Amino acid sequence: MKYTYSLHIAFISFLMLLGCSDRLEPEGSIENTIDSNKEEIEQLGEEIFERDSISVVERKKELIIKFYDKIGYKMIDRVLTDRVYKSSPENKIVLKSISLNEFNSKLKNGTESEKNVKLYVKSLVKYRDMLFLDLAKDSIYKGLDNILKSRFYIDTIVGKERISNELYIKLNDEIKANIDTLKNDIEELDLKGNQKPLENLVKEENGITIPDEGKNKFKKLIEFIKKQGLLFLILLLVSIILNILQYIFYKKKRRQLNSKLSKATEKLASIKTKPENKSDDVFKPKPSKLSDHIVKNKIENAYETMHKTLLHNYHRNCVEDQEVTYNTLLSDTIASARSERFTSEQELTSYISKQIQKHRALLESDIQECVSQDVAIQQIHARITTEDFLPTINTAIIPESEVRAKVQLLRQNLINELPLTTTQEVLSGIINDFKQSIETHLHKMLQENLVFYFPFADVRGALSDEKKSKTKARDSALQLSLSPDNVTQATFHLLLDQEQMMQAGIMSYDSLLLPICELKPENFNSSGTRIEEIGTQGGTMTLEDGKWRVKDKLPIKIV
Amino acid sequence: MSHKLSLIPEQNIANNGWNAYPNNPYDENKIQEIKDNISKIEVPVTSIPSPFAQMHLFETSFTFINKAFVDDSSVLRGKTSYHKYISQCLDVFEILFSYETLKLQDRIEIQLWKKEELTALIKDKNVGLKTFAETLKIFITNYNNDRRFVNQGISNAFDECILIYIDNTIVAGTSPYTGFFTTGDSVLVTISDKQNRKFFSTNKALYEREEDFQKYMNVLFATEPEVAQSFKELQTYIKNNNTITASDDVRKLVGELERGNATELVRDYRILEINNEEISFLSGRVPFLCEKFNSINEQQIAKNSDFVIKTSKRLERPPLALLEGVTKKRWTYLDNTFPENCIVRSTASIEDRKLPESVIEYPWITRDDVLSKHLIQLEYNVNIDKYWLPQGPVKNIILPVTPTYFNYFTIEDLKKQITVEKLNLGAILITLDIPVQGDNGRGTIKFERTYDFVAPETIDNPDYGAVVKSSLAFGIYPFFKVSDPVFNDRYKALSFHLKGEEIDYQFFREENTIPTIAKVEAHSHSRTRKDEGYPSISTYLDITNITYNEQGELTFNSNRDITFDGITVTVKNLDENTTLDGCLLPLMGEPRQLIDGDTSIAFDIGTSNSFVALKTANQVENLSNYEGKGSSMQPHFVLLNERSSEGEDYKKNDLNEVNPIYGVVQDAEFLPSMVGDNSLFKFPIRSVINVDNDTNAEEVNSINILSNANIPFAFGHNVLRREYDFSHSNIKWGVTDSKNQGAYNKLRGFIEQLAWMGRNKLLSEGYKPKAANVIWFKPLSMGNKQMTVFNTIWNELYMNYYSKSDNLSKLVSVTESWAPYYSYDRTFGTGEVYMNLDIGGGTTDLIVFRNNKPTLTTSYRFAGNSLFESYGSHNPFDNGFVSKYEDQMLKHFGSSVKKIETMKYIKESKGLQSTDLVSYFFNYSSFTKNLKLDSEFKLLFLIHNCAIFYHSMQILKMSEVDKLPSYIGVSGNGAKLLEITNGDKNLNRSQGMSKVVQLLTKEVFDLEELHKIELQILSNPKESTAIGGIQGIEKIKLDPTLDTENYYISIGTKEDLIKDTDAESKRNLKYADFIKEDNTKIDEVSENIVSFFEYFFDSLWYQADFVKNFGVDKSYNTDKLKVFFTNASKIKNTIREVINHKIEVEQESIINDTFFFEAIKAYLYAFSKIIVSDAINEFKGA
Repeated sequence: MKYTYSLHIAFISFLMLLGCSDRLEPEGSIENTIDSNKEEIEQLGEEIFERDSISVVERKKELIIKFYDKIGYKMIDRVLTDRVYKSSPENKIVLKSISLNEFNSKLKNGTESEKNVKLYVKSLVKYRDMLFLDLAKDSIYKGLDNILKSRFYIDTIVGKERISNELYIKLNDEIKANIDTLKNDIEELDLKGNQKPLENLVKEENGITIPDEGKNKFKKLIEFIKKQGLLFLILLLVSIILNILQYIFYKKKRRQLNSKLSKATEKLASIKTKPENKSDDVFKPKPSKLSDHIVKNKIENAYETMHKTLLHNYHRNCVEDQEVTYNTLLSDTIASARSERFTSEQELTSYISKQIQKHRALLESDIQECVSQDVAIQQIHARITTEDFLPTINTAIIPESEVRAKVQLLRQNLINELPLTTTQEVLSGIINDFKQSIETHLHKMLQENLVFYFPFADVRGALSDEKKSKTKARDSALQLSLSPDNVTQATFHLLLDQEQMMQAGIMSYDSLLLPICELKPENFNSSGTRIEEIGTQGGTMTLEDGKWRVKDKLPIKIV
Repeated sequence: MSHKLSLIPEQNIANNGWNAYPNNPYDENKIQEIKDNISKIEVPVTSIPSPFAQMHLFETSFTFINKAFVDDSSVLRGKTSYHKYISQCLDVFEILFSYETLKLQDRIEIQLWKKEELTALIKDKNVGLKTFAETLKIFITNYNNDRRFVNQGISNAFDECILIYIDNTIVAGTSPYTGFFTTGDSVLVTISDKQNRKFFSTNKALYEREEDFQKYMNVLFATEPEVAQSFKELQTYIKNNNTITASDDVRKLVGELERGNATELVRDYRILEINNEEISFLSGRVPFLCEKFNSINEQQIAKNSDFVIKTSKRLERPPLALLEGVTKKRWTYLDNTFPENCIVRSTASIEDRKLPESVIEYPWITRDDVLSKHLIQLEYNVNIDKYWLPQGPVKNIILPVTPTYFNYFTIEDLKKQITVEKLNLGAILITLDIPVQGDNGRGTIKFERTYDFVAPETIDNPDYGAVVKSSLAFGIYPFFKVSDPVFNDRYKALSFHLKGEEIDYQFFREENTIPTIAKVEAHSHSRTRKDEGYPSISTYLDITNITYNEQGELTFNSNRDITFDGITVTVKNLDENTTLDGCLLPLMGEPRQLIDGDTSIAFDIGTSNSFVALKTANQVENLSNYEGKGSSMQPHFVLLNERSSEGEDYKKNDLNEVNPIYGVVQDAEFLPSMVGDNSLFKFPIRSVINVDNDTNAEEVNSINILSNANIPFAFGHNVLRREYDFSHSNIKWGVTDSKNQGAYNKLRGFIEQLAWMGRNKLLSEGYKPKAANVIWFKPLSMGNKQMTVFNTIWNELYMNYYSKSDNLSKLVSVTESWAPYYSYDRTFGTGEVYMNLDIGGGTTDLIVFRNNKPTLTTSYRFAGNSLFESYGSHNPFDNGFVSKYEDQMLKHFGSSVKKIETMKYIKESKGLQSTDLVSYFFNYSSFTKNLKLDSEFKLLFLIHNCAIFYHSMQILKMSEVDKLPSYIGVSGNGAKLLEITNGDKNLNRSQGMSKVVQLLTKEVFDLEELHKIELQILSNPKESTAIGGIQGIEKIKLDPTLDTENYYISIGTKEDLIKDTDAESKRNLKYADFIKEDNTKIDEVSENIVSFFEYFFDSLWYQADFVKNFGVDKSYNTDKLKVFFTNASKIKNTIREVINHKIEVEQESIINDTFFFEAIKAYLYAFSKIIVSDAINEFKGA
């Protein structure tokens, strides 16, 4: 019962409180308090926010720059090591501790590879700068990953052929780790940036009652009511009477209040857009704001139109390639427009127009750099031809038809792997890399076509050319390396790892070794089990009438 | 009264139908109203699965369909349960009807069940069983009273039931209602009907079934009224089917049956019995009839097919050639065209196959039967002159034809049918145009396959196969057949390949009337085995009817034909995990016609060297294993690879070109393609045999020549492989040691290879071996046991390889010393005495001719080797010559690793000794030259030579010859030593060897003056024995025992010469007697030897002036030398040791060799060691 009683008391008290609160305060002071407090809060908050958010943004920017400097170095250094200066590591440019912006000034501009690296740096700068647009937004978090997801990184920096390369896996992990760190740092910044204004408000504006303090008041009231039970019964009666009276005035008062609240809202809006005039215009009537819905629709329609125009003007794949940017820009515009107070559609249209202009330029600059797959294929066909490589190949070793077939095959492989779009810079890089790759392949072919395996020579030291094999067979005993300049000349060595053949050689040295090897008695251990070549030069053979014949015997010893 | 069971207590059900009892809601009328989706769907049966219910179910099925047929004749076909049960019932009828035609003898069993079995069950203690039996008995009794049967006078219709099992699973039983009922849904059998439909798999109405079966059902029901009455619903069903059957014959038959002509028709059928148990209906009242199987007719249908092959073979059942997709619409398959989309595959053997989509068991072949899935490509071109391949550019393959092909076709068929084509992209297209009966015998079925250079596992289309490389090398020796089949008795095949492959061969001979080939057994021996650490594997196949029996005797079986027409090859490529088939068709040509001819072949098996000569067409030549010369040279050993265009002739035909490793192994383990005067490998050859490292020669019959042992013709030319080829020399001796079976085996192996090669040479020239004189030479000093061994070996070999009978008349053994006499061009006049000394490696044979006939022969175990032998007990190379010249020759060989290593090889070889090493040194003229100039060793040469002549003259004197010889012929390799002693080839030079011989003769005969004697030596002394033997054979044969009749044995004294045939005298010449204390013969021999040495050092030295005329070291002190060489005590001890050895080791009892040389041998050995030591100085100086 006590509990019920107490609750009743509380309920009555609450009603009283509600009823008395308006009554106890002068009418004007309500709106004044609301307005003035709100203005002050907002004013203070915005000042603090503004001051703090500027520093937060700057700090974020700094973090991103540092981040890009770091991962930029890692990527570019990897490329320089693996591709540009692979054969001459001593010439490699060291970019450590240098800002990404300064990379290109340090890089040479000689070979195609070096030029490509400069393009890579530019791409990195572009990806970095894209992030700056989101510095003040939550979308910044999403954008941090963009570099890892980009085709620039996946196709150009890494590429399919290196995707399982440990160094590149490590690079990937390092970039991921840096992104995580960056995210944490930005998050921390954001956290600090959001808390500070509130803390300041609480600490610095003691005179202002904030709604949360009502809880304490309520507790005190309850305690008071408990102590003054009888008194409150009387007061309850009075209160009821007063409330009845109050209700009579309520409607009248409400109408007035609504009018003032409306004015206050307008005033608040004008304070936000024109803070400098807030003291003068607080009570001035403010123009009505366009609804978010309208703003959003308008913006979306405008961007859609822009999108269509872009599609019309440019290759669909290139335009679609910018989808992330496009959506980001659209979101940005909608978000920023919402923070604006557009009183008329004209005002909104004007705003959108400016944004569209700016963003279209931004998008077009990227789209114009985009190369569609069709165009890329045309360029590949035009820039990668067999004739480019034929002069460097000895067609006596690899027939021209094989070279053509190889180039064609590799080119087709490249085409098959082409992304739907790329940039001219990246494409140039791809083509240049690819040319190097073909050269490597052809060089390898050349090497392969120069090395053959044969069984032992006959008793006359002759080998039929028909018996050559590109791979080791069970009875392979000799390796012939043809001279690239004269394919009728070759050096030869014994295949010492062909153990059983070598054992047979030792056993029947007169038939198998002596026809092709120089074996002095002092180098023959009759109980020996192993053949060793003396020196590294090997023996030599010449090809005549389809037979390889020994010219210089291979010096060996049996140990 | 019988009653039916009811679920309602105490209710009796009238015995007039299973559903006829009062108040049954499902009375006849109600049942009629029940609609069934006939022909639409199958509704599972849900009745109680008792046997009786099942029987009713089948009759009900017929009932329903019959009733529905009234309204709709198409109802006979459908998918309902009724259709299924009807179809299954008919299936059982048809299976049993076609029992023989479908050849179901091994698949169907029956079991007769009788009601009596319940009697025992009723007494069972198991209540359940008892109840069951009692219940069943009640049922049966009740059912037996069914009016349907009772009214016909059929009693106890349900007392018996025949259960039918297919593949050991019960499938059906007999039913008095429908003939048969089945177990229902779970019937699963794999028997197909004549139209290739699996029984029980689909529903099939009667009218859709084979015409014969429709007729049968009509006849059965027309002739068996009890069946017709009992199976009345089935009869109705049959009648319904008759109305819509498409068969005119069936309708015609029905008409006849209605006219009552059934009795005759029943004769077309017979009562079916399975495992002697009759099948019958209604408890044995009506027997089940089945069709009479006409196997002849069935086979004739198949034989008439247009798809039957045309072959040169006369086969009783030539198979059909079928290929999926090849239907040949205008051709008759059996009684129709070959079905579209017919699967032509079978895992059964060809003769047991059923023709596709038929039940006729008749052979048929398809592509996979005759064409290998993959193609074997060789690393060389095939010798197409000797191994057949179709014309065209592809020469490096083995024909991908399986052994099965030759079951049905001949090799000549194959040559007409097969084509090999190289396609533009390199693939190889093999086509077999199989001629068939179609198109009036002009038709063909093409079996073709394209073999491409791809991995076998990538082949997924039967039109394609892979080309798989093989390292196989192959050859056959000898590569000919002869007209006298008895001599087509032995072939050897060589097979080499690299590891990673396993290769099998099947030699076959064509059979003309049966669908098979005659397999010719080949014993395979892998000599360099796969688990040995060598890169290649060698296998030798022995195809022969000459074998050793358990006693180790050589025998032949002339009834066993081992000739072959072809060889099928199976190559298992372990890397590719693929097995490939192919065939080799050797072109041995027509059998060579044989004539008797005047031919002889002579085998001189020497201790160190051996020589074989043969005479054909009045021409004596050295043995070779080829015919012709130059480019027309035809080796007897023909390899699969084509002849090389490079190198010396002897190398052009071997395996070196295919793979140098193979060349090495061929020379070491088998036979060079060219052995003869046009080859590096020519006679005389070293008497050495190579034995596989895995063979224990000590075991009886362990040696199989050219399988695990061979004569290494390359010995001395090529280095042999130390770990795999064990060379054994000195094979001629030690054969009498019973504990040394290996010595006997090796000697026999060595002779066998030569005898076989010589025989093959005669055959290749077209001469009958049995008509040829076969001469083998023996040293007279050979002990009896040794002689017995040689005789045994030669007799066995001759009978098996030459005469093919017990007739040994053409086998002649001749004294080694006798034969050379006939090798001289000149003749010796009447009254002249001619003496010949055949100085071999181990023995010196002396023979004296008077009037061209041998009047005295003897032999000493003292010859060329006696100078170089080792008597050291542990070191076979312990000899002064070796000690001195080993280093010198090493220096001489300089940087030639091969020469140095050959020398090392001989020294390190287990079976070789000092004489082999010195013999190797003699290959180099520098050695001979150095020996001629070696003043110290010259002393030993002189002692050696003089001893021979001295004792020879003593024997001549003892024989009381009345005239001294004017000519002494010197033959044998040992004769070359005389040249060294003489320092000049001309032995008759002034103050040369002939002078020494004259001085020796003067001394022995105590002449006052020198008697002029001329020494005659042939240019090739080793050959003179064999060639002389051949040239003199006719004279020798006039009295072939003249040499042995005049064989004398010298004890070694000046006076004891005993005629070998003088048994009385020989009785006193027992070895054991010589060592008795009172026997003075050893002392006398010692005195004789001492006399020789005293004469040698005191007189001859100076008379012949050894220092001046022979270059003997002038610093030698003859007195000191004489003291050393005349130590009587040592001489006697040496002789005693020899005698003990003869008794204990050689197990000889009677003296067969003079003791004179035994001590001299010991002196030569001992002094050779002194010469190379400082001790020599003790024999020099004043």
